[in-house]
Amino acid sequence: MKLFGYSMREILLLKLFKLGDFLIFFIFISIVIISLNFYFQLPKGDYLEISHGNETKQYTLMQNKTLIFDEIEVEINMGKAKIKKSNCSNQYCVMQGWISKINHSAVCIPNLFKMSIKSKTLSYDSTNY
Amino acid sequence: MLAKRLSKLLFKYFSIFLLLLINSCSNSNFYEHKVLIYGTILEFKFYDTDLDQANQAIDQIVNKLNDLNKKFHPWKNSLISQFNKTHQIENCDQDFINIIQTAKYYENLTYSTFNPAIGKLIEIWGFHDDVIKGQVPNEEDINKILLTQPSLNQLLITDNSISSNNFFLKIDLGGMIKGLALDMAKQTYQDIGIKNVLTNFGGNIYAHGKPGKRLWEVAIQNPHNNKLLLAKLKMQPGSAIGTSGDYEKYFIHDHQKYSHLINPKNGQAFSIYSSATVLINPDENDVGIKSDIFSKPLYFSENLKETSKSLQLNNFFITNHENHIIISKSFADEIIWLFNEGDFIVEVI
Repeated sequence: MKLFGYSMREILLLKLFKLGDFLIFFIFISIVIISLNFYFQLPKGDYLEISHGNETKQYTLMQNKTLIFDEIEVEINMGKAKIKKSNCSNQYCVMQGWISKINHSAVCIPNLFKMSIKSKTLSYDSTNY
Repeated sequence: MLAKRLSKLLFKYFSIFLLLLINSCSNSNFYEHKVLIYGTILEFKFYDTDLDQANQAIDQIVNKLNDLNKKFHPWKNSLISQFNKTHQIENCDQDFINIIQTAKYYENLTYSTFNPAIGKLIEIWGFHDDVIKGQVPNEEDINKILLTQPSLNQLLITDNSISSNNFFLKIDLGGMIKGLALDMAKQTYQDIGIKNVLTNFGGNIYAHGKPGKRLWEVAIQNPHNNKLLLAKLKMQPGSAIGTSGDYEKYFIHDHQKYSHLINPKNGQAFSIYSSATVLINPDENDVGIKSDIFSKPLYFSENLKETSKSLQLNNFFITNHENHIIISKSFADEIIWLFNEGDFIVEVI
């Protein structure tokens, strides 16, 4: 494997990287791993809040339903939601895919459309039945 | 050389920081324990409690429940099953007599809409068996029992014996035993000095103290689908919640669902409601027993407002088979609904 025309052995011999560089590299990787860890530990949300134009509405996530807002089609599928179709040019919002965890959002700026996952119940201690 | 030492030092502190981060994620303040007693789950969640004290409380409560079972099991070998055969038992201890008196008190308080003397009716509906048979008794048999108006008032209670002349009277304390267990648990916590614990016995919950600055939070199961939650609730320290419904023990015959809750007034095993939930305020006595018993009069109520007024019940709701929820005003302010949009229609009374 060559890097900037040098082989790995040459790089190490030339001492291109010092110990401090490895330290920074290590810290950087650790931060990434910790962040990813936090990301995956986020709890799932309870409902979907959609802001379209001036209107904000809430929808339960525990259903299979397709919602249509003029130019945008939103799909809710038992706990997760995504923007299925949009008439915007970049299609970034569609590419975002499924969102299911608390405070995750999908936005379509050209259409002034925003949807995010919210929670009214983060946890409970026991169940009454 | 200096850079090397510095980086070593940095690495060391960074590792400690990482360890601390991992540690802070674990919940060391809670101690949870589950016990299975005669097919019913007894669940504890202690907060900030000495482990020895917690285990001591669990042992004592389990012992008390074993004792309850030996005395009050309605059909297996117990004092009550013996009474149900012979209608006379002697050499009962004071605790036993006290519990019978308590049951009688609540039967009268609820105008017999909670009636522990209708064991015979529960039996002919086939619920006095480990496996539910699913038999519908004929009207004649039901009426024969109803005509004798079985009631604990027909008991002759002395200091150490109970007897009755009504041979259709069979005692079944199934409608209050879970609540009784919660009150016994409460007493145990007070005796040992445990301050914060949530106790769940077969779905009935008693909140003792609170976990730190927040309150105990309880989810209520959706009566039409046990995989979903209906609502969530914060419980004040000392309060208890109970639900009665047709979804736990039941059988289906000719497309009709018959539950183990028998209406003492007409001997039938169905109601227009599918569940009734009550929350008992902390300042009342017998919070556990009330949380268990008071859901029954509501479940069979023909006039919810009147029934709740006669029981001085402020916090309750019922669900019916048409996916309606009828909830009292004060309870509606406290509850957070979690059901799917369109699954239920909520009506506040």
